[in-house]
Amino acid sequence: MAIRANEIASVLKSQIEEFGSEITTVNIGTVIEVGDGIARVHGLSGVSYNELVEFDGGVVGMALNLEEDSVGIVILGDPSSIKEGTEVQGTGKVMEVPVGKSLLGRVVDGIGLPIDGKGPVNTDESRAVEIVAPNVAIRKSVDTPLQTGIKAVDAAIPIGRGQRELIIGDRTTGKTAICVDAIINQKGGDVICIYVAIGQKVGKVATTVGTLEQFGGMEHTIVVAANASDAAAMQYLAPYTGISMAEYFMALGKDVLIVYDDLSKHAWAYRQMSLLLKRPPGREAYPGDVFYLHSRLLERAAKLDDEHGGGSITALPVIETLAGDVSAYVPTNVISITDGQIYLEPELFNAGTRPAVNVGLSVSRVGSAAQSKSMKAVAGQMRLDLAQYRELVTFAQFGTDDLDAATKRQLARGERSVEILKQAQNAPLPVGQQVAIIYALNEGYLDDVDVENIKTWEQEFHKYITSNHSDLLDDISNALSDESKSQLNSAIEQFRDSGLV
Amino acid sequence: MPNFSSSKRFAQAIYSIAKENDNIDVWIKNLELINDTLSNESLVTILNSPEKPIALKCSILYKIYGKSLDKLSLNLLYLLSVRNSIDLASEIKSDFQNIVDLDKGIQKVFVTTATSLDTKQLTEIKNILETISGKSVNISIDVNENIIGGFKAVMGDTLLDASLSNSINQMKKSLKY
Repeated sequence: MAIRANEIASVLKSQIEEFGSEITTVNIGTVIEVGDGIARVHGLSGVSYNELVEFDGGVVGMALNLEEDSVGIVILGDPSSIKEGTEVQGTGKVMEVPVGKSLLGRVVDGIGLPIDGKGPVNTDESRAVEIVAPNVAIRKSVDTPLQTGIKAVDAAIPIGRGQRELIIGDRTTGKTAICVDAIINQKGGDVICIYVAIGQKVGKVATTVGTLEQFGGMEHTIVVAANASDAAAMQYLAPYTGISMAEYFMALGKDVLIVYDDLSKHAWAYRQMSLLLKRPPGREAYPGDVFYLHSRLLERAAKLDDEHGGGSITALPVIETLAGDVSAYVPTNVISITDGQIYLEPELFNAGTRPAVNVGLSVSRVGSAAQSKSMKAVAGQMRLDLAQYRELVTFAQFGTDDLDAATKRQLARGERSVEILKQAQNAPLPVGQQVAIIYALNEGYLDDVDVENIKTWEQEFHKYITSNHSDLLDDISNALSDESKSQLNSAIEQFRDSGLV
Repeated sequence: MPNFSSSKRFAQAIYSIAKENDNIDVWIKNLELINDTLSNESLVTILNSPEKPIALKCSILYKIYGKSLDKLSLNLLYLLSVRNSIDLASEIKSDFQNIVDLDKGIQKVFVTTATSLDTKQLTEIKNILETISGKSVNISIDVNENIIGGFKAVMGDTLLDASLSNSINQMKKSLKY
């Protein structure tokens, strides 16, 4: 951009002429008490809720408790320069974060400042962190699938764009892996991803960012990281920061996927803040508004109608349970807010079923409306097979010798279904291939393959079908006509007879 | 939970009593007297001690203030000692003074300047502040070289910053981005 020298001179001239003539009027107060990331301030009588304030020395804070004689402020930064008697000034602005396309590929902290060492974020736009969710008049029901690339999810627990699907499970059951796979699968697509890491170890966040970079997932992704070492207030703000960035893209008519990893730690951070702000504790010492904390966040995920651009935000909140206790306070809250949950079990994980999705307990309340016709056609049969298998499997533990042929067949099919739903990490599968393999399973082409050979069979099948029948795969991504069925049958038969496995 | 009894509410209550009886000046004098005597630490310790019976505290208070204070002022002292919040007395006094000033249309302003002012400059500043606040102002001046030039004025919770150091800071901020 060319700027003429005389323009600069005239700007400077007016600056020099006006220098010192303006009077600024601000709201002030003095710190009466500071500790644990909270400052209690006397004065600041005109401050508004969620207003940004600035301490003498440049540290910022956010006004949260407006009381008769004092204001409770959470400190967003290094509190060591704040002492009793430090002056505080109101800024007149509510908490805002930078938004924009230039954030893509960046790692930012809980208030949107870059922490990846790639320099400042070049954006002029910003957005308030606390915004009321879109109202009912501008929303539309979910109608487009969001492909995660994971067979167990896309087939059995489909997620639609604009849905909130909870991912719940104990520690080390692969919750983050599902989210990261879903992000990687959007590579080259039209979905923008935001990964919000709350209260995680810095090393784990670095690993996740590394995985995303390795598999090409970072170009369309913003990582918002409020790590375990950051102030509780930062961890509290991070999800709202993330969704504000997502709303910017939704307003442009784009589809966004946002992952909150995880909301249990978010609730802990909020509990800490609330107790230090002396708000009364309730069940499990969480404050009274811990439900509202998550409901107002997840309500902001939406599918807008076409008049408003048709954009969407799909939310994948993660909840970590302790020893499988899904009836604890925060898990039950989030289960009731979301449109379904993906339930991960340590037993399945340890038995080698990965992703360890319990297909029986997991549900998606709205996603099936958005599932592609072809996937709906094949997934129904597979779910039925799996359900019947689960009933029989406990019974079959006592020996299968005396069972009738139909039951044995059912058991064999079930074992193969479980095997097909296993999938390696960071290897999302396009929907066409998913439909093809599940179709092969349903049609019984795998019944005479040994269970231990299923994995190799599947790998070779994918290689074969992508190199020889890529048109067919595109065809069956949306619908499964009789013609494509017969083409698929002959393709599978050719592969079986080719002697590749 | 901590005890959040507010001196402001006491001050408001006293003000309405004083206004009803039309004896605001008497109350100001009484509150000053109370404050002066309460600078005695051993007295405050006894009054704050939860072990001492209320009757004892009241009799002490009566012996000290019985002749110099009226009944309502004594009642205020009794109430504060019953609530173990005799410490509030000094805040009550300043809050009461503020309410009285506000009602009379007097605004207390703390002005900071870089150099000491002459009478002409003082009247000028006073005029400016009176136009801004719409009240007659009671200025107390403080000299601080760190603000370089101009002046700063604090009215209640509002800071009017017309100092040179503020302008420089503003400029620094706008150049940063």
